[in-house]
Formats: sequence, C-alpha cells, structure tokens
Amino acid sequence: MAGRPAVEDVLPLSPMQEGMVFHALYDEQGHDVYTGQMTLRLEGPLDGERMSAAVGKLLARHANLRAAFRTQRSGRSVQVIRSEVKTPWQVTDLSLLPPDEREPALERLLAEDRAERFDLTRPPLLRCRLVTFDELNHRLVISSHHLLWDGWSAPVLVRELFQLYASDGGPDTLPRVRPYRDYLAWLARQDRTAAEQSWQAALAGLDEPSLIAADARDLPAEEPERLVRELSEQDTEALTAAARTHGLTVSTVLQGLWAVLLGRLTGRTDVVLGATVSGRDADVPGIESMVGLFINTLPVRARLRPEEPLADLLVRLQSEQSALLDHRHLGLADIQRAAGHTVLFDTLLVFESYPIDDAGIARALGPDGLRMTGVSVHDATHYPLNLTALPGARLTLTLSHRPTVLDHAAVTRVAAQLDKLLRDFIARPATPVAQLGLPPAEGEPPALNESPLPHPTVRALFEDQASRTPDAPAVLHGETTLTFAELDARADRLAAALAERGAGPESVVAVALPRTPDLVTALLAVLKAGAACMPIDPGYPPDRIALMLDDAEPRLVICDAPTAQQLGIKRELTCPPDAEAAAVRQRPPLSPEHPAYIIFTSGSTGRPKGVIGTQQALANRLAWGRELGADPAGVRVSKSPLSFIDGLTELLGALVAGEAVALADDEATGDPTALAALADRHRATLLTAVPSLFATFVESAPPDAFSSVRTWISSGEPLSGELAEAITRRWPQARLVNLYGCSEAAGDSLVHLHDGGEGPVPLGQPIANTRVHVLDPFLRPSPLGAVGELYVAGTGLARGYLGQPGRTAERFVADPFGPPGSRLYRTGDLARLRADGTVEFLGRADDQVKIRGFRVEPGEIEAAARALPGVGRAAVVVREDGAAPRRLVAYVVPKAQGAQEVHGEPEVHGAPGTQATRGASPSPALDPATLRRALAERLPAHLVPSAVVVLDALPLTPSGKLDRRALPAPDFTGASPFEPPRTEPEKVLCGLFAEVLGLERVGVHDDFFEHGGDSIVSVRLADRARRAGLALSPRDVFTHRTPAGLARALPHETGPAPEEFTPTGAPLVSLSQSQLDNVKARWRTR
Amino acid sequence: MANPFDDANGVFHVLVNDEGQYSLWPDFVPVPDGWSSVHGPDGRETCLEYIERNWTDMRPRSLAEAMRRAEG
Repeated sequence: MAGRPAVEDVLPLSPMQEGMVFHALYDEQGHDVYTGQMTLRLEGPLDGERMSAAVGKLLARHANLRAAFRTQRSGRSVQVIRSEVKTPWQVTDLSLLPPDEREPALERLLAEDRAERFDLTRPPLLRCRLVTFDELNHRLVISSHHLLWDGWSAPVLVRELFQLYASDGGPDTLPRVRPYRDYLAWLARQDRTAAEQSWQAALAGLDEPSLIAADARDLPAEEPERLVRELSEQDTEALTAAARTHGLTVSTVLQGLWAVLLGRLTGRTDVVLGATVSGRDADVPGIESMVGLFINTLPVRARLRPEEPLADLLVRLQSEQSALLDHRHLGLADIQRAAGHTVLFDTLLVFESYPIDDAGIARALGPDGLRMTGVSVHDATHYPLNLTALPGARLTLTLSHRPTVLDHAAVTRVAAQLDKLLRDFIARPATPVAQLGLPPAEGEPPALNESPLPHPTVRALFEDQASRTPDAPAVLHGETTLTFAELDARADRLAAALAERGAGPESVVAVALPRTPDLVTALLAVLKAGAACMPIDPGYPPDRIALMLDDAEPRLVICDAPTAQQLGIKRELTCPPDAEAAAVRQRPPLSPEHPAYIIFTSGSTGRPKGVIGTQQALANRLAWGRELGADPAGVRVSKSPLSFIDGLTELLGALVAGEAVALADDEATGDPTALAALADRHRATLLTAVPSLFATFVESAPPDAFSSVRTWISSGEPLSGELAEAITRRWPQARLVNLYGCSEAAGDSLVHLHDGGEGPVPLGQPIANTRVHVLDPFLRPSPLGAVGELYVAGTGLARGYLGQPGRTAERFVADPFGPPGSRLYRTGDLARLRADGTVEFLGRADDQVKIRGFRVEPGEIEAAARALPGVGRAAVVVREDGAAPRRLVAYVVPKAQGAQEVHGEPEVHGAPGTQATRGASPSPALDPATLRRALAERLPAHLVPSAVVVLDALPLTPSGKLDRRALPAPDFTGASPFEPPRTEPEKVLCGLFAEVLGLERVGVHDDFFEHGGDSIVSVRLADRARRAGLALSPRDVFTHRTPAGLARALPHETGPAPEEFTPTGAPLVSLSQSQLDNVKARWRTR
Repeated sequence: MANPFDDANGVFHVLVNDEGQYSLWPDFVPVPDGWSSVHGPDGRETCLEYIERNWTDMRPRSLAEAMRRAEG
C-alpha cells in the first residue's frame, strides 16, 4: 500500500480519554497501566485466517477503533480516525511444547505482551494473537489501549467478532454501527456550567483529598497485584436482600462501606472515593450496543457522622448521588477544577455490570463446534488501590493494589475490614458508624509498660542517689566541681530557707538565675521543699515574664537583686540563692500527686499556658532516664534552657542517675564549638540536642570533637534518616536515641534506639509506666499503618494547665482504654503504628509547629501581631524557601480605617484565591522591620518571626481558608538599599551571607537577623567564614550583624587555617551587658 | 485531621471521675468506666463554661482530702 491511509475524521476526546492520554504521555518510557488485555479461551476447530479476517472487519466497522491520538500545538489532544488500518495479527503455536509447559509459556507471552506499550500515534491501538495449544484448544489474546473501549463494550465486541467469524465473508448480517462520534457530539451539547455548579456544590467545604498514599503519584507506574475475595452464594443473596430492604443498590452499599473503610485508612470523617460509572445512561440512541470509551471516573463524597446508623448513611449517600445523575458526563479534571482541588481521591471502586453474554456468543458461533469456554480480562488503573466488584451468583471482590505503595499484608487487612463491614451491613445495618467494623484483633491492645518506680518524688530519687555516691562529682562548671554531698547540703540549706518563707507542697517557687551551680542548687532546693519549681529565663521580655508570674502566683522567686529589680519583683517575694534559714524545721510529707514543675508552653489563643507537672510524673521520667546513660562514671551535658521541660529532665536526669552534670553557660547552649569544648573538657558521655543542632554538629564540629560521647539523644523535632546516618557515621562510638514527648507528659513518652532503619527515625515505644494510642476521629484505635492522632496515658501525665480547667478538660480526657477513671492526653500529633507497636510521626493535626525543637503556636504570634498598632489581620506560617533555612514568617494586613476590631479567627475579605485590593483606606503604611522589632520586645526569641511581610489582604482558598501556598516568600533584598562590598573580606562575607540565607545577593549593610538569620544559621555562617580564613564566632554574628560590621570586627591578622582551628572554652570577644542580654535573648536552641 | 474534641458543632458531655477531675466527652462515644456525666448533652462552649465554673480545685480529690486531714 503506497502512502498513508486517508484521514477519515478528526474528533475531540471524551473526558476519560483525556485523562488516559495524560497518563500515557506523563511517563512515555514506563509501564502504561492502561494497556488492557482480554484472553478468550476457545475450544473446538478454529480457522485462524478466518478469525484474522473477522478482526479486520471489526476494525472496518468501528471507526473509533482506528483512532490515533495526537496532541496539537495548542496542547489539546484529538483523535484522528484513519480510513484504513492494517490488522495486527500474530499466531503462536505452542502445540510442540509438552502439554504441562503450554500454560506457563502462555503466561510469559501474556506478560510480555502487557509490557509492550502502544504508540498512541500509530493506529490501531490494538493487537491480536492467536495461541494454539492443540487442534481443539486455543487462546485469542486481544490487547488494546483502554482509550479505545471500556469493559461494557467488551461483550458487544466479542459477540460481533464471532458473528463476523461465523458469517465467514458472507453477507454482513450485523446491524449498522452506532458511531462513537454520536456520543462525542452528545457530550459537546451538555450544559457544562450547570454540571460544574452541581459538582462544586457537592464538594463544597471539603478540606482535603482522601489519599491513602499521597506520595504514590511520584513513583513510577507499575503493574498492580491482586487479591480476590469471592462471597458465598448465601452471602451474596443476603447482601442483595439487605440492600433491597433499604431500597439500595449493591453498588451504593459497596461505595458506602468503602467510604467507611477509607475513613479508617485516612483518619478522616469527610472522605472522597473514586467510582467508575458506565456512562451508558447518556441520552444517545443505541448507546447500549456501542463500542468505545464511555466510562467516567467520578468522585463520591461521604460525610461520616459517628452516631448515624449505617443503613441511614447508605440511603443518604444514594440520594446525594442521585442529585448528580445529570452531571456525570463532566470529566474528573473539570470537577476538580470546579471544586478547587488538584486531586480528590486515590482509591477507585468499579462495579462491573457487564457479564459476558455467553448465550449470545454461543448463538453467534453457531453449531460449527467452536465454543468460548472462558474469558479473562487484565486491566488496571494508576490508582494505588482499586476495588472491583463483579456481580453474579457469587459476588467477586478484587482488590488490586500497587505493591510498592501497599504491600500484601496491608491489602489483606483492608480485605478483612471490608469483609467485616459487609457482615455488619447484612446482620446489623442499624449500627452507628462510629461502632462499625472495629478492627479484627491486630495483636494485644497496648499495655502499660509497667516498671516499679523506686521513689515517687524527685527529692527522694535525688537524696537516695546522693547518699549512695556522696563523693562523686555532681556539678561541673568552669573550675568549680560540686560533689553530690556538697550539692545536697547546699540544696538542703536553701530548701530550709524556702520553707521558712512559706514554700511547700502546692506552692510555686520561680527560679530566675543564670546557668551556674546556684541554679542547680536552687532547683533541687525547691523540690526538696516540696514546692513546684518554675524556671524562668531572665532573658525573656519583661512583659512576658510578668504574664507568667501573674498566672503562677509564685510564693517566692529565687533570683539575685539586679534581676529582681529588672523584673520588678516585690521584695517580699524575692529570695537570694544563698539564703539560709534561721531554724531548720521538719519538712512536710510530699504526695506523688503534688506538683513538681510549672513549665510554660506556647498557647494558640495568644497567651502562654503553664503546665502543672506532678512529682510522680517527673520522678517516673527521671528514674526511667537512668538507663539512658551507659557509663557508671558518666557525665551529661546540660545545655537546654531550663524554661523548657527538656532542660529540667536533662539536668535532673543526670543527678538522679549519679552522673555529673557538665553545665553549659548561657552563651554556649547553641554554639557547636563551645559545646564541643565543654564536652571534651569534661569528657561528657551524653548529650541531648535537637536535630537542627545535630546538623550543625555534623557540619561544623571540629575534628575529634565529642569523642567521649557514648549516647546522643535527639529530641524536639522529627529526626531524618539521613541526619541519623550522618551522626552515626561521624561518631560510630555513640548510640543515637530518639525521644518524643511534651511538657504535658513530663517531657518524654516514647523512645527509639536508632537502628539504621530507613526513612525518618520513628518516635519509638513507650517509656516506663506509659501507654500510647493512635486513635481515629471516632476515638477508635486506628488500623495498623493508618494515620491517627497520638494519645498518651500513664504516670507521666500532668495535672493540667494552670488556671485553665476548660482547656485541661479538653486535652486531658477520659481514657476508654485504661483503668477506670484514668485520663489520656491528646497530643495533637499525627502518627501511625507499626505491627510491633513502634510509633511513627506524621505531622500535626493542628497548626502547631516546631522550629529548632521549640513548640510554637502560630496563633500566639498572630495574636501578638494583631495587638500591634495599625495591624488588622495576621497569619504566621513556617516557610522553607529553597536553600533558606526553615523559618517563621508573619504576614500582616493593615487595619482598615474605621474597621471594627476583629478578634479570634482572622476574618478575611476579598475574592477567593486572590490578593484583593483594599476595601477601605488603610492606616499609614506599616514598616516590616519596625513590626518585627516590636514583636521581639513582646515575645521570647523562639517566637519572633524571621520576617514580617505586609500584604493588602490574606490570600484565600476557594473554601475560604488561608491559602498558604499563595503567601509570597519574604523579600529580604528590598529592605535597605543595596550597597556592594568594598573590600575583600566584605566580598567574602556578602557571598557567605547570601549562601547561608538562601538569598541572591546581600549588601554590606544588610542585617543578618532581618534577612532571615537565626542562631543555627549564624553557626553555619561562622563555620563557613572560618573555613574561608576569617576568624569569626557565632557570637560575632550576633554582635556585629552586617557584612560591614563583621569585616570591621575581624582581627588584623588573618585567622588560623580551618585545619588548625582548635576550639577553646574562653570567650573570643568581650560583650557589653546589653550585647550579652541580646545574645541571651536570642541564643536559644532549645 | 478532625478531632472529635475540637468539633465546634459537636454534641458533648461533661464527665467527672472519682478524683473530681473533669473531661469534655463527645456524645457519640460510650462513657468510659470510672467516669460519669454531670452535664450534657450540650454544645461544646456550654460544656467548657460548665467546667470553668465547677472545676475550681484542680487537685485530685483524694489529695485535697488528705491535705485537709493533715491540717486537722
């Protein structure tokens, strides 16, 4: 045949075809899952040439089977119908093989065939192969791209094929074809606007898609694996009868049950699944006998209500679906666009109602003796999990899954849950949704990790230890060493003085001291007196400290005179750290239920909240923590700020274990070089840090630093597998322990010893006398591997929040799994359970974020920003822009003049998705730098945003929420006029600033902190500067702040080469008091 | 992820245990052993207000009583 066959027609694509073309073009090299394969088992004499001719006639009859798919320059795809195509026909004779080798050979052939992609531009997108087993046994393999036809077309095609075979070139007895073109023309006539509006309404208010494997989209396509379940005839009848009783279709029942299951798998109550509809209900004459792709995949949304009886849910679902009947022609991409989502679901339900018409085929084949004795269809979708239901005397349910996304064990559990739900529907259709399908036993319910507590109070733990090792070193600080006996005696003296001044059980004593041995003594003295200690960081803004003192109403504040004056503490409240009692009295008994600590954490409502931790909670954490040390003569570095729970457990944990505390100065707490010097000087064996600090250790710690460390503890933030590997590679002699916890449960609840496992290091398993649960939104244990919220129970639970009974009662709630009357703390963290009970962290259920281990409630910063003059609305988010470090950014909108004060949730105006223009005239322009400084005066350093961005309005999603993705990255370059570097050191410093801050360019007068820098980044900057031969410390960065300032501060001699650099504990620069305060206020890593 | 305790439109109870500790509790979940409802079913805010009014001593009841006895 010369030349290309003529083009007969050019047609648009149906929505489903568009989706498939997208997937085929998305990855042109990989596996095309939409390559379908149908294998007909034929018995009797068969004439191959006649069959080939029949296929040719089929291609001639149906124009759409001759389609090629091309993408036009506009990006739009069309199907080009050729007037003629070659019949793709191959024959394979397996009859020479021994009979038992024929099936395996066929399987290989089929697999190879499935792997062979169709080229969408070369029609026909179908090929046939006749495989002969012997004279009377054949397989006809028809492979095609799913673009050509759907499952409902298959019976028509097969019947026609056999009719054409039977007529053997005789007169065509088949009725005239109803062309696919008619359907496309019908589609073009439909009211798209009405359909879009209906779908928009049906999906209104949907927060998020229901994804069981959000990452799967980025993985290469693969051939799915299958798990097939066949119901018994009896069960099938019972299911059909139960459906009929409630006026439901079996298809709706399956959709509803799948929705319930999806709720369990995703931890959501508003779920969306995909459902394939036949599309054959379109008002096109003869559509039921047409061949082509009519199916459509549509979202099915189900809002699960815990108390609703199952049958009611299903009836509601059916009626919600019927409202959409006229709009099922709209493509998924258009529906998603209308609903404002880029994706809605990743599980698909197909209810196949097209059983092959055996009688019709038998009639078509006639009495010649050839019979079709079986059909197997192999097709697939790109979704990670599909449920295909094949009705019949026995309902067949096939779960096909992408094996790299969901393994066999996980799918087996899904199948078991589905089975349970089917049985619930048949036997107990009135069961409330929240009580449905409780998981089949997945091992024992979590038990309390029981372990006897030697002493239920901290003072008893410490005193017991001090009496056993009186002469061992307890506190190491500079040149000072205190033994346990000395420390105990000092603390007893101060405790007596505190008691004399009225401190005792149920009273609070605040401690506002710098990091010296006096601080250790003071904390112990408070605990010995039976009071609760409330550590206060003297570097906090005075307003903030006043707020904490107001809330806690301490009986006493242990501090020196200048601090008392600075903080405005009344004389009668002040107690100097060296106070002594006039007379020593017997101390009152101390209950394990009395408070041991008050620790303030960020509060979402704009006010910090004080956690009241009990004696037994802290004692339990400390007693358990003794096993963290591996060395009887161990030394633990204490460097975390004491106003955080980890500071307390780090310090007291060493002492109750009989190990010495190497106390870091305030200035050293975040500086890897200074910490390395401290650790090396005291041969420290244990050190706790947040991952971001570990990252700087790995990057910047001098060679041989930390060589004495035997145990690293990571805490405060998720620890990535890469960082864990880097830590263990660099310090192979030390084990790495990951801890998880919060102030509400004495600091730590879960522990995991890093074992080199892949992926993020898990949170681990409960510590002593602790139990955890991962629960779904209906408070049921989440299935293994499914996301849920993490709850903690056991001895570690705090009493509650200071002066906030309501808040306490909604976070510390009744425990349905523990002893009668016990409580559960809901952490707000999302997690999942492994089969061995290990907990993995998956993020936050609310807006809380962690920055360098600090717990930050954006709501608190937003409230502080809204309280500033001229600010109307505010939103605070964590950003990670390119190479720039993770940082807090505040977005503020000027207060419109004459506008009412808005409290609570930021109410936002303007069109969805846009930054609207101002509705009213704004107050005088807000200056970001001024706002940031104002926030720094009111908030502790870890809550101060790296940048403030002023916007006309906050961008919104279609559902009216803050559109985080539409928030612009802070622009640090425009803050001050750019001034290029003038000297070589300035040039180097400007380059390094830009590098570590992730900015394009930095001028000589650009302030490090106003361009997104923080303590961790300052360490990186100082390290890179040292490598470049400029001797700078992180502290210099805090003091001098700009490239020009730092260049001026450089010593005249060139600094030592990086290889020769040896850290020392001595300060490199002397600081004025105000500079020191500045450093103290900002230099906090934990 | 929706947490039943945060559902502003949910129906709740106020539970109390033998130690006089309070818990907000969603109406659709059976009341755990050792707790009983003292208020509800009612809206979330009303339940929280009830707790704010009535939970005036956060000490566990047994501890408070022991302290009273010790004071004589």
